[in-house]
Order: sequence, then structure tokens, then C-alpha cells
Amino acid sequence: MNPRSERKRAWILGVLLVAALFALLLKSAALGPSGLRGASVARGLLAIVGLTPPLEPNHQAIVELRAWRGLCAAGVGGALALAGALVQGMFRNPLASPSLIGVTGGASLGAALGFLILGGVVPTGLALGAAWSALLVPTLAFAGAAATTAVVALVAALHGRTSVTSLLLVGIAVNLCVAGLFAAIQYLTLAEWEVGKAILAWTFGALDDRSAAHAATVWIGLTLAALCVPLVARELDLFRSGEDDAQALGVDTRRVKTIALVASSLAASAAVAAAGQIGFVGLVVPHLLRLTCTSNYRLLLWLSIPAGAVFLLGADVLQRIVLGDGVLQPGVMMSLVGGPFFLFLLLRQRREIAHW
Amino acid sequence: MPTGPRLPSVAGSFDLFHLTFRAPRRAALLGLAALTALCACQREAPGAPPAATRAVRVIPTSASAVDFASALLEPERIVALPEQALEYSVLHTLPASFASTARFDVYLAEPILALGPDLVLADAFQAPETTQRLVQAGVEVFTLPVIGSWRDACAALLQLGERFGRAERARELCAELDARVARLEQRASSGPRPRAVVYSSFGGVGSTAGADTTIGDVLRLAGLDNAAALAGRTGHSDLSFEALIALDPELIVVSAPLKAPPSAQGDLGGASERVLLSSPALAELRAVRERRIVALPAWLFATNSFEIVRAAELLREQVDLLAADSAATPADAGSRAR
Repeated sequence: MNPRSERKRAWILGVLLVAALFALLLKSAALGPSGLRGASVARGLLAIVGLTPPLEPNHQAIVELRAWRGLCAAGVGGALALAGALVQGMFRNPLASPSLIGVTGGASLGAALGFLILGGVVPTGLALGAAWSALLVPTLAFAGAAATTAVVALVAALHGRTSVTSLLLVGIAVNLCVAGLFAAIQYLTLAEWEVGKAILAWTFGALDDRSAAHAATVWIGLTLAALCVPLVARELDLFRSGEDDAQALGVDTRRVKTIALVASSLAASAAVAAAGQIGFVGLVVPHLLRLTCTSNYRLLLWLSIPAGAVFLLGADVLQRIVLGDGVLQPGVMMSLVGGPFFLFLLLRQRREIAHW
Repeated sequence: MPTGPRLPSVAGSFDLFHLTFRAPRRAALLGLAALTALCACQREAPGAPPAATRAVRVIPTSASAVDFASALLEPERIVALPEQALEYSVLHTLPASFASTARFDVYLAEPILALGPDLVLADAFQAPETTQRLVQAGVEVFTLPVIGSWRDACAALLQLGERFGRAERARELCAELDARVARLEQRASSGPRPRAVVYSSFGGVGSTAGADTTIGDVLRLAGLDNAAALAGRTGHSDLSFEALIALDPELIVVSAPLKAPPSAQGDLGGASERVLLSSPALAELRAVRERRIVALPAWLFATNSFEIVRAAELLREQVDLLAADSAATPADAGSRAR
């Protein structure tokens, strides 16, 4: 495909995705177990931005819950897809995902610690107020994800040069350590069934009961990561023929890897802090874009944001329409719906894949 | 004093071995294997009648099993207590009579066999492979029926009473429960039935209990209407904030933590109560705004035995206190917990 038509195609897809995203956000706001619909929802949404007086307090609270849910789903989808695209570009491997650099494992460990503190299993001696209690799990999940990624990056760079292979191996090793600790916590809390259940439920992801703080967390993380895209997009395209070749062409590979690592961990950490573990989006969305539009990172990285948002929010809306609220958590849904869908696409495009 | 593990009886095999001493070794080994397998099959046979002997050394392996065993048996007949489940049982404060009783961590065959029981009391949800190993080793395993209400618990008490040779004690306990339930029903019939929701959350998505749950039976006995059950919910299910707002309960029942210290606000309702109080979306929910949140001790919140009645009595007391507080100072009706 010539570059001009590729760019045109990407623009058209981008516009369609943004339009679909707005439509899905509106549809998401109209769905919920309380039966609040139509004009009331519209008035409530306008009231959030101060354009109309708020509804009766409980109705306004319901509209806000739906709005934060939609924004969280879109932000989490976009952040995970961008993180996935960055990691795949950095590792030059289409099977890479944010979990490879320890984001998911670290976040799980942080969240588990939060649940242990809330459940009183780990006494802190601190009298946590109600507001701090609500923020404890997302904050520790974010800290856990960021800390694990930092450990991966630092250990991989011990000998001065961070190769992609060493990052990959250290990532696998750190993931194993973290998974072991997480499993130990799960086992030791079997008797504390409420706490154990909360830790387990977190691994399925959650989009219910999100607040403005959750939405802000994920969108701030996504925005900061997106700001890094222009700094690495062209270089990641040059990475595709190999790190040494890129270096020979004048690319500062160390700088590119550092920026890509920081940006992807920021986006993925914010996503898991806001909605728990939701797999698959970071792996599949960049693939879908490669199969349907472009593998050029200058386009792919930008497109992955609205594509990821539409993918997760669309799946969430669809399952709420078909199955009703609270039937499937997003992590489960992604595996059940995303897996077969991805397999279908791979089979449909088997000729192209044969050349990979 | 615990005795050593009781090995499966293979006495017949040894006899056979001695009888066929002059026969080829392979034939003797085959005979030994066949006889051992036959013995194992006989012990595993489903529906086999329980041993007629009086169970002397009993091990309860779950919280509800502890409740049943400690109500019916003399302490010296309870050989060991389950460490992990103890906090959710009536013995969570561990009376002096059980202070020296042995403990075991998890429901595994080896530590239980090492304690030499002749009857193990287990729940249906506990590891079936462990139950099978215990049965193969010649230990009787009594599986408690599924308890959905205090009536189910009473039936289980009578059944266990027969098995333990304590039928009279079981009948006394059931009669006592009948009387307590009658008092609760009388108390409940004299006033309105507030709409209540059971809520549980540790910062993730919350959950509630609908119809056909033990905590639902607690609400009913305490004179409360279970709003989740009235909305058609059955069993335990997720409850989003929006669904909670839609139910608009007059009262929310949460679990008091097992170990967490009270928070700065002085509430004892633990994580679930803090989630309710800290979420801006719930600030205008009637039960939250009026602080009509009551906390049951964790062991009663999760009880799966006849202690349902005790949970209902405690809940009723708290509801009455809350009503009295509201009547005295409407603005100062704070949450209560035990």
C-alpha cells in the first residue's frame, strides 16, 4: 500500500472510531439496572458539565456513575491498546503485551496489599478515613505496577546496555516472582473469605462503581503516555528491521526504549489502577489495526487509542445489552469474546499471516 | 492425646500372604492386591450405612461443623478444631474448655488422620478428594446437608444428634430455637418491616444476598424485608452502586471486620461500611445519608448453622436501637456495630 493511501485510510478509520466512541459513550450512559433512560439521562449528562441544573440527587448520582463507567472503559481500552502497541514495537514482537514488563503482576500485588490492609489482615496502625480507604486499592495497584516495571528496567540495564532480550528475560523472571507472591497471598487469605474473594474478583477487572477519581487516573495516564508517542513513533518503525540496524541509521535506541517503557508502563499502570486486570486489549487491538489498516507505528500508535477505547467500551455495552448488568466482569468478557474474535480474524487473513 | 494415624485394615491380605507362602510370589501379590482393592471398594460403596458404633473422637472441619459439634458434644469428644475456620464459628472466642484442643490448618487427609478420629464432620463444599481419602482410610465422614434456613439447621441438628447418640440434646436445642424464633416473630409482627439490603465490598464491586441465602433468613427472622430478594435476586450476586440506589433500602446490613481496628470515625463496620460512606455516588442514598447502617460480627454475618437465630436476634436489637436513636435525635443516628 502506498504511504499516501495508507495515511488516508488511517484518517478515515480514525474519524470513524472517534464517532463510534461518542455513540458508544452515549449508549453506555443509557444502560443500567435502575431504568433511568432518555431525556433524564441527557439532562443529567448536561448537568455534569454545568449546562443544566442537576436532576434529583439519586438520579444525578446514577447518571454520573454511568458517565464515569463509560469514560473509564474508554480510557482503559485506549491506554491498554497504546501500551500494547508501544511494547510490541519495542520488543519487535507482535505477541508482546504490557503484562510482559510486569505491569499486571505488580498491580495485582499492590491491589492485594490494599485489600489486606482494608480487611485488617495487615495491621498498619493507621486510622484510614473513608475517602482514603476508597483510594487505597487503586493507589497501591498503580504503585505496584510502576515499581515492578522500574525493577524490570533497572535489572535489565545492570550491565549498562538494555537489550530487548534482557528486558524480555528479566520481565519473565520478575513476573514469576510477583506471581508467586500473589499466589502466596491468595493462599494465605483463604480463611479470610471476604478478603480472598475481593482479591480474586480484582483479577477479573471491574468497570462498575467507578468514580471521577478513577476516570481522571486513567485519562491522565493515557494523556501523558500519548504525549510520548511523537518521540518514539518514527524510531519504532526503524526498529522493525532490528535494533542494530536502527542504531546504524542514527536512532538513539536506549532513549527510545526508555521512553517507550515509561510511556507504556504509565498507560498500563493507570488502566489497571482504574479497572483492575483486563487482559487481551493490549495484545489484540494493535493486531486488529495491523490486519485492517496499517503496521506503520506513526499511524498505529495514534489509532490504537480510539480503537482500544471502542473495543473495550463496545464489548462492555454489547454484553450489558445482551446479558444485563453485572453478569460478566470485563476481564472475563474480553477473554470469552476477544479470543474467538481474534481467532476468526487470524483465520480470515491466513494468507497474509503466512508471510509474517 | 492424639493417637497415630489409623492405617487401612489389610489384615486379610497378610493372612493370605502367609497362607500362600509356598505358592509363587506373583500369585500371592495378585491376591494381596485384589483383596486390598476389594476392601477399599467396600469402604467407598455409596449409601453404605454408617457404622453403628458411637463416634467417640470427632473432628469438625468447617465453621458450621464446629457450631454443630460444640452444641451437641462434650468438649472431650472433639479431638481437634480447624484453625482457618475457627474465627467464623461459635468458638471464635475459644472458651476455656477448648483451650487445649488440638488444631489443624487445612482440610487434608494426613493431618486429620494423624489425630485419629472415628468421625469427621465436613461440609459438602469441602475438598471431595480429601473426603475420599479419609473414607478409604476407614474414617466415617458425615457430610452436613446444605443449610438455607434455620429450619434446615434444626433438621441437621436432629440428624447429627441421632448419629452422635445425643438425640435428646438435639431435641432440646431445636425446641429452644423454636421458642427463640417465635419470640423474634412476635417482636417483628408488632412493627413495620423496614426494607434492608445486605452489602459487602472491599473496594471492588460490592455484592448482596437475595432469596435462598442464610443471611436472607437472618433478615427475615429479624423482621426486615430483603429488598434484593423482593427485586427478584436469588443467592449471592454482584450489586453495583446504581443497583443499590435503585433498591433504595431503608437499612444496610454489613459485616464487622474480624481483625481491622476501628477507623478514625469510630465506626466498626469495616471496609464495606467505609465504601458506603466514602462513595460520592451514594451520598444521597437514604440509608447512607441517615447513617442507617448496621454491622453484624463477621462470624454471624457468614454463619451457616443454627446460629442464624442468634444473628437475627442481634440484628433485631441493633435495628431497635437505631429506631430508638432516630426517634430521640433524628440527625444523630449513627451507624452501630457490635
